[in-house]
This record gives sequence, structure tokens and C-alpha cells, in this order.
Amino acid sequence: MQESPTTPPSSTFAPALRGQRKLIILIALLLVAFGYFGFTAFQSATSYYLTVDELVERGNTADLGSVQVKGSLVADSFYREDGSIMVRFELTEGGAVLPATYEGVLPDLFFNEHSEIILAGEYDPNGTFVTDRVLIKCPTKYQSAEYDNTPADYVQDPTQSS
Amino acid sequence: MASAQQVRQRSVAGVAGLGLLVVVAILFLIDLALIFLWAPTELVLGEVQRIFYFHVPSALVGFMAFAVVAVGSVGYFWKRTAKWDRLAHSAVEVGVMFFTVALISGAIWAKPVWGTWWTWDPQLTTTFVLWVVYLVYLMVRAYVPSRDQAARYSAVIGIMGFPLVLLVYRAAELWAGIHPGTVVGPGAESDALDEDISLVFTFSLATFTLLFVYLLWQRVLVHKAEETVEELRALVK
Repeated sequence: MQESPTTPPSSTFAPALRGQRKLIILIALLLVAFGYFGFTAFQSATSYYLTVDELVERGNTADLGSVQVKGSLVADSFYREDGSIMVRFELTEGGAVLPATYEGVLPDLFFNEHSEIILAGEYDPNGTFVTDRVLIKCPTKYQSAEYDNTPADYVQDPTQSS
Repeated sequence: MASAQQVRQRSVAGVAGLGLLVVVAILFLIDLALIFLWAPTELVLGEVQRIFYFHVPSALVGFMAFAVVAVGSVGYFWKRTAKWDRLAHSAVEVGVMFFTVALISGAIWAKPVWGTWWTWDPQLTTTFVLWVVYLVYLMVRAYVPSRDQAARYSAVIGIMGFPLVLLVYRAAELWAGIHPGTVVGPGAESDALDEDISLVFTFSLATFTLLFVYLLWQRVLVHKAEETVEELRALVK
């Protein structure tokens, strides 16, 4: 089937169309400019989270505001206050330990030893991290649960976590 | 008007299209059986990890589609024929659909695992931007009145959007976030996937790719038919 050009090639850059060509160049320049602006703004704001050692090093100064901090759960540090949903635990990474509190329901994978935990909240002046939100970062590797045919029991009893 | 040879070509294309549709449908049934009956349950994430076999192929097929868009856009600037423009436009439509599936399946996966439907992690943020870029492409197509102008403006977006695809692909490695790093393709760890998981994933990716090829092909044909209708309408006026 014969393809008909949408414009005859000769007329593509005819004087009448020069304005449109300018417009295309302008759009392209704007896209590049916005892209560059977005990229640099993104670069400076990429600390999606601080690690525990980074946060502890910065100290509990008020100007940090709301931050996200990543670490892994310290074994046997988990403690739930009787008759409440207030929990206390400690996160560790890079040799530093951060005590934290949280009031609410924990995600399924919180107690899994492979999980990395991200807390969003504020670093309290008395050195405790007051958590608003708990996120779990899961592993980059996927393995089959070879020794277990039942659904992986990823909610382990905290008292049994190693 | 269509010659006898063109009519014959079209009916051959119609039969081939139907054949491919049947193949894709059968592969999809096998894929579903592999995912839900055969694939092993993942060690850490459990059953919910099966979303992986939908989520990642959709995203990768979206990337493929946007690569086709870039090729079509370059082709259009080079040859200035409707053929290349049609290819690019169709690939955006199909690609956006696959990418939307990736975004939605990602949210469904994120809720039980991360504990949130959405978060502004680097990979999610760049993915969202990429999705918006190709929505803008479709808006430009819809709003610019002349076909020539629409083709040219959108081809600029089709070319400039592609570097972002590469950025999204590597975003989890470039900036620390919550999204897992690259598990398939260049830059992935060789042992990121268990053998069985890798097998089912490969099958799923092939199935999704074939579905993409089918949809893209059919969309191009429909675009062509739409243009013929427009031409005939112009003749009647």
C-alpha cells in the first residue's frame, strides 16, 4: 500500500512553517530546562531516608522536622505496653542504635529478619524517635520457600525472633 | 480505492491477527497456571510476591513500548511519513496502558509489603513522571488540531521522553529508596531470582511481550482505518 506523506517533504521547512519550527525548538528547550531543573532539585532532595547512624550523627536538633530513617530491628528490643497499641523498639545500622516509639498497627513484615525498616516521624529532644508511619523495605532477591509448603509465616512472634 | 491485491493482503493480515490472538490467549492461560499453581511461594514475602509476575513484565513492556515510540518519532522526523507517526502514536497508547497496569499492581503489592499504597520513593517518583510525560503526549495528540502539527510536537516528546525510561530502570540503584533494585536485565544481580521464579518470570515476560506486539499491531491497523475514513469523509465533503 502506498504511504502518503503527511506533508510533502519540500514544504516541511517552507517559510510559512518556520514559526512552527521555532515553536518546536522552544518546546524542546523548555523540556530540557525543566528536565534539568527537576533533576537538580531531585538530586538535592533525594535523601528519601537517613540511615540510623546518619540520623544519630546529626543529633536530635529541632530543625530536622519530619524525617525518614532506615535500619534493622534490634533483636529482643521490641516491647509492647500492656493493654495499649504503643510499642517501643530499637533500630540499628552502621553501629548506631536508635530507640523508637510507635502507636498503631505494624506491617506484616515488621518482625522478619530480612526486612529493613523505614520510620517516618520526628527525632525527639530526649533521643527517642517518635514514629508516625512504618514502612518496610523488602529484599531485592526472591527465593522460594523450599522447606515450607504452606504460605510463608512471615509474622513471627517477636519473643522468638533471634 | 483498494485493489484486489490490497484486499487479499488485508484478509491475510486479518487471519494472521486472529491466529496471534489465539496464541496469546493460550499462553496467558498457561502463564496464569504457572503463576498461581506452579511457581514457588516466596520465602520472605509469601503469596503476595506472585504480583511480581504481572508487575515487572508490565513495566518492562511499557519500557519496550516507549522505545518503539522513540524509534517511530525519529523515523517520523527522518522520513516524514504517516507510517512512522502511526507507529509512535499507537505504541504510546499501548505503552501507557501497560504502564498503568504496572503502577496499579505496584500499589496493590506495596500495601501489604511496605505498608503503604504509594510513597515518593525515587523509583516511584520517576515512574510517575514518566507516566505523565506519555499522558502529555496523548493530550498533545488530542488538542493540536492539525495532524502535521500533532505528529511533530508529539514526536519531540516521544524522543525526549526516552532517556527518562533508562533513568526509571536504574532509579532504585541510583538513589536509595524503598523500591527493590533491578532484578532482571542489565545491571541486575545474577542471583536475584531463584531458578523457578526466574523461569516463570521469563515465560510471563514473553507472554506480555507477545500481547504487546498483538495490541500494537492491531492499534496501528485501526489508526490506518481511521485515517482512510477521514480521507473518504474529506472526499465526500
